[in-house]
Amino acid sequence: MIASVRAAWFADRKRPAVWTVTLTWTALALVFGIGVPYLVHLTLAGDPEQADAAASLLDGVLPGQLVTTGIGLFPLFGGAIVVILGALVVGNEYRWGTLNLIFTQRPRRWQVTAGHAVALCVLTLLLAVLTFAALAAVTTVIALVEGRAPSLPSPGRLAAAVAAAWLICTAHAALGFLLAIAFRSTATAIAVGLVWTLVLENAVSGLALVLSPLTAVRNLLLAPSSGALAGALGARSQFDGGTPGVLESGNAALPVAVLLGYVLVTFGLGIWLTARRDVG
Amino acid sequence: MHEIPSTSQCAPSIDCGSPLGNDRFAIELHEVTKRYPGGITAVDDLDLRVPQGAVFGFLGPNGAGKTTTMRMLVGLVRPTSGRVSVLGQPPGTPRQLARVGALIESPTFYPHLSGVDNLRLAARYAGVPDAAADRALAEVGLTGRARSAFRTYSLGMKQRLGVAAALLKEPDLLILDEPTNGLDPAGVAEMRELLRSLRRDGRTVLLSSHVLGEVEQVCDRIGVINRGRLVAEGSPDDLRAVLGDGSLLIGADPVDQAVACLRGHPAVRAVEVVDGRLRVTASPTLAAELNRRLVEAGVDVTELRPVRHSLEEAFLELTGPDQPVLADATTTGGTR
Ligand SMILES: Nc1ncnc2c1ncn2[C@@H]1O[C@H](COP(=O)(O)OP(=O)(O)OP(=O)(O)O)[C@@H](O)[C@H]1O
Ligand SMILES: [Mg+2]
Repeated sequence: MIASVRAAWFADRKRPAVWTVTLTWTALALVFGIGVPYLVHLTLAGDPEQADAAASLLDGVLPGQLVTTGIGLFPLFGGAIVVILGALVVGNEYRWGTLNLIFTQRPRRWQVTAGHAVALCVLTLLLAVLTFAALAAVTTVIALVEGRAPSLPSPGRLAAAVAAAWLICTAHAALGFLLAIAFRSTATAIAVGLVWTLVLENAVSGLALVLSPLTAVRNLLLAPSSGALAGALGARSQFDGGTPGVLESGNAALPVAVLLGYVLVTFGLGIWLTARRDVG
Repeated sequence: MHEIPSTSQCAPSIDCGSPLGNDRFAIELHEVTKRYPGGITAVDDLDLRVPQGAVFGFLGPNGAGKTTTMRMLVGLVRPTSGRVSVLGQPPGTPRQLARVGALIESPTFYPHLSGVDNLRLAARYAGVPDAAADRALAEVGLTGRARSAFRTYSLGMKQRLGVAAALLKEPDLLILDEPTNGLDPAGVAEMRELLRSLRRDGRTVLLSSHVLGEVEQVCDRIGVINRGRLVAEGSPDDLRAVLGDGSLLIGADPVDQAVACLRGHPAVRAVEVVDGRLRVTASPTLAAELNRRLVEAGVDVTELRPVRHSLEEAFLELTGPDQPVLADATTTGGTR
C-alpha cells in the first residue's frame, strides 16, 4: 500500500496538468478573493459617500479576515477546480492505457487505486495550505501598504480554515475521481462533475429557498454542504455581500459529516469499481 | 484438436539444454471462457499448459483471443468461467505479479514522463530498486534516450521500453504480446537473442507473434488458437507434420520410367510431374530408399531433395476459414 502511495505521488507530482490546475486556482483565489475587492476599494476610497463600503472592502482583504475571505472562495470556485483535479489524476490512466502498466506490477488493484486516492488527498491538502499561505502573504503586504497592523487570525482558527478547505476540496476531488473511473474518461468526468456541482446542485439549493421540503435534500448535497461549512466558519453568504456558494449556517457538524461521507463513499466506490472491472 | 505426433521437442536451430520440469507448468488454463459484455466470446473453453522454462509461441489470426488470454494471465481481465493458474498462483495476486513481467498489446506509459521515470514509477509499484530501471533500459538499448519524454519516442523505441518494463522485475515468467512489433531488423535480432538468454536462465516466456519465421526460430513449443480455442499444440515440427509428411523433389531421366518405378512403391502416395521434375508425396525419410530403387531400375537421379512444409502453411491450414474448430482441446503435443 505504501508502495502504491509513493508511486502515485511520483506520477502526480511529475504531471504538469496537476501543477497547472493548482497554480491556476491559487492565482484565481488571489485575483477574485483579494485583487478585485482591493481594486474596488481603491476606486471607492476617494468618494466620501462610499467611505463605509470602501472601509468594509479593505477589512476583507486584510490579514485579520483571512479565514472568512479565504474559506468563502472554496465552496463554488475551489470545488469546481478541484473536481477537475480529481478527474485528471485518474482519468488520464484510462486515456493513456497506463492501468495496464500499474495494475500488473505487484500491488492488488484496489491498493493501486487507493494509492491514487491518498496521493490526491495530499494534493488537496497542499492546495488548501498553498491558498491560505498565498492569501496570508498578499493580505500582509496590503496591510503594510495601508499602514494597518498585519495581525493574522489565531493559529487555531487558521488551522480550522485550512482543514475545512481541505475537506471541501477532497470531497470535490473524490467526486471527479469517481466520475473519471465510472466513465473511464477525464473529459466526460469533468463535464458531468461541473454540471452536477455548479448547475444541478445549485439549482436544487436555490429551489430549497422557496420549497422547504427540498432543504433536507440540499443538506446532503456536496456544493451546498461546502457552502454551509464555509458559512459556519464565518464566511458571508452571497445575500450578505459575500461570495457565491457560501450558505448561512450556524453549525459545522452536519456539513462536516456530509462531506466526510462524500469522501469515503466516492473513494470507496471508485476503488471498488477499478478492482472489479476488466481492464482492456 | 489436431492429432500431433510427438516427434521433436525443440525448434531445429536451438539447443534443448534448458531444464524443463516434467510436471511443472508455468501457466495452466483449464476450460477457460471469456465472454465480453456485448456477447463476444473471445476465449472459448480453452485448455492450455505452458511448461516451466519453455519459450512458448502463441499463434492465432487477428481476434483469435491471444491478447485476451494474456490479459487473464495477469488479472487484468477475469475469466467468465474456468480456472487459471500462473506459477501456481491465481492471477493478479501480489505473489504472482511479483514474478511475472508483461507487455500486453501496445506499450502503455505516461507520455510526459521520460523512459527512465516511467520505469522508476513501475519499479516503485513493483517494490524493486530504482537501479533496476537503468539495468532494464540498458538491456533493451535505450540508455541513450532514457531521459527523453515517452511521447517523443519512435514506435520501436516505445516497444523497447515496453520490453524493458516487462524485464524490470527479473521475472520468472514473461508474457510478451507481439514484442517485435515495430522493431527494426537489429531490434528483431536482439529480441531473438534476449529470448534465448531468458531461456538459458530457465525463465518461461509466452510469446505471441504474427511473424512465423521468428516464432519458428525461438520457440520450442507452439500453441495455435483460433476463435478462442486451441486448435493445435506441439513443437514447430509437430505443427508442420499436421500437413502430412511433406514431399520429395526428384530430378530423374528418363522421367516416364521413374514415374512407373515410384508408383509401384507402397509408401509413395502420389507422383506428379512438375516442370520436368517429379514431386513425390512421401515421407522425406524415404529419400535414400527411393534413390536406390531408381538407380537399380536404371534411372539416372540428377537431383533429390526433401520439401518441408513451412510453419506458415501449417498455420494457414489450422486456422483457415473452413477449418472446423474442434471440440476436444486437450494437449496432445510432446510429452515432457
Ligand atoms: N474490451 C473488449 N470488449 C469487447 N470485446 C473485446 C474486447 N477486447 C477484445 N475483444 C474481442 O475479443 C476477441 C479477441 O480479441 P483479442 O484482442 O484477444 O485477439 P488477438 O488474438 O489478440 O488478436 P490480434 O492478433 O489482432 O492482436 C475479438 O473478437 C475482439 O473484438
Ligand atoms: Mg492481440
